[in-house]
Amino acid sequence: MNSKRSVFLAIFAAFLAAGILVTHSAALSVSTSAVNFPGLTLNGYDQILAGSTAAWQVDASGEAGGWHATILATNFGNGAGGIIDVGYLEFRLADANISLVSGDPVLPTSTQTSFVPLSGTAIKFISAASGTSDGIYDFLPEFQLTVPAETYYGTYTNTITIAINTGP
Amino acid sequence: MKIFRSSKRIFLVIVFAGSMLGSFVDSVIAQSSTGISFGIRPTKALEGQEETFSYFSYRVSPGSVFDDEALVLNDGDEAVTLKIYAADGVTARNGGTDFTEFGGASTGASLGSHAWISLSVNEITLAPGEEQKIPFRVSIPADASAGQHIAGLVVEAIPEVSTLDSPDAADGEAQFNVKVIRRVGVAVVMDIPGEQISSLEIDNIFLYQQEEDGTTFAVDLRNTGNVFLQSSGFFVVTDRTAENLITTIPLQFDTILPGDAVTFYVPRAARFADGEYLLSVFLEHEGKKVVLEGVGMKIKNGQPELEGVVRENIFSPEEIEVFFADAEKEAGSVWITIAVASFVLAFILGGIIYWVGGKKEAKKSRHVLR
Repeated sequence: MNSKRSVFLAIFAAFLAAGILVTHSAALSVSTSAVNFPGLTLNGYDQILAGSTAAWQVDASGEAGGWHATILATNFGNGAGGIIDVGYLEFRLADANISLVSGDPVLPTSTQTSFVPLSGTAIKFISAASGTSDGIYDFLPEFQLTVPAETYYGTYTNTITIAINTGP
Repeated sequence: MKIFRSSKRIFLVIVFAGSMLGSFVDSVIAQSSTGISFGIRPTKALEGQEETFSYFSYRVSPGSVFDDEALVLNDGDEAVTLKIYAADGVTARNGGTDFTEFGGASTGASLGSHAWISLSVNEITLAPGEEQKIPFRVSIPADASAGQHIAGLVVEAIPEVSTLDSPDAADGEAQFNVKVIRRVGVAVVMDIPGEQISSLEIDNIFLYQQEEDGTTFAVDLRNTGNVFLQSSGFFVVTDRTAENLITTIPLQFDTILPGDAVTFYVPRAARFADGEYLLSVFLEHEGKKVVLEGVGMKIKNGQPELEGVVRENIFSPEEIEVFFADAEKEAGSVWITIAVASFVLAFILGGIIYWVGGKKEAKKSRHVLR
């Protein structure tokens, strides 16, 4: 009888501990890596550069109500009047580039699998429906920049904003 | 023997508890290895409002004032300083709630809703693993109109900057420096009583781009009501006579906030041959149908050219209904297949258990006879 009680108590304690920890970890958050483009020699023609970045990560542990992430960007400017319009910067996330780290094996899905120009209006690129994708996921987005033929030399800077949101 | 069995059970329970604990610790380590990580969420959920587990949602009267709090967490392994602010809700391209940047304004019905929220702080520094409750006050203007007004609480980290080969580009060279700003937002939905209007318009449809690996269409929608809505339906391409259906793409469009206009991209994994086509979109929301049909599309040497609406009344309401009915039937048949498969599986399993049980019984009776 005593051993049965201890088994029951151990199971109860295990569930309680697991429950408290999972509740504690319920914070929707995102980790990103820097986005790099190689420098290039201007030659009077349009040139396409592929951006590189390491895997980004969403922690949606305990987030059962659904979530999504968006991206927006600004123009590139060289500080001396030279501008590369943000529309030359394209982005996509292939479904094959989303992977499970831990948690619900139902992966979030990409909502932008083909390259699309970025703009000052955010675009949703990954989402999880309510009741799914309660876990940690890595994803590797792809960036592509077309440097127009008429670009002046210089160091161009822009800003990308990544947001992860819960809402209707 | 009994003692051995129960200690074995206890051992299994400990292993189980350990593995659950282990999976939690694993997740934290996995996250920490990629740098700072932070979030924001409500501190409590309201009974009967499931959405409040994920975001703030209030049914409130004009002129009301109330207090609440948000929980801001640092899940990473280093201290983090975060900007925290209220923002207007906006709809992202492809749908879904997003929030304006600091100081920005919505162009929809949520314009200015950020000003209804006042926060006790605008910056916060958290140690690794630390969490802090941030009080805020919501003051609904006395003249707030009926319907849903969406704002958000946003936490934002200082930007991450890409590395450059050298600080200055040489003559004839260009180099690129990208700052990445990270934000986490949680919606604050303020639902003001009164007439709730759900209304959707399709502004435009067009072929956005055609490349070697496929085609992307774009559909421009506008929420002309005062509540947020989702819609589903079909993108239909026919030949110019509208006699032959070329392709039908099912659509599931995410949330559009009241008053917002938004573009949804619709991919198709195939190119269109040169020729003339008609594009149509049928959508359904809250049981209402919205249609835009007969947009002309010409493709010459692989290059699309849009002509606007060239033909109206292609599909009768009954024909449009058939698209939705077929989809429902298809969804129903999937469930029937699953139900039949489950029944067969259960039947087979039951048979195996019965057969194994019978064999054991026979063995036992042989043993007794001996």
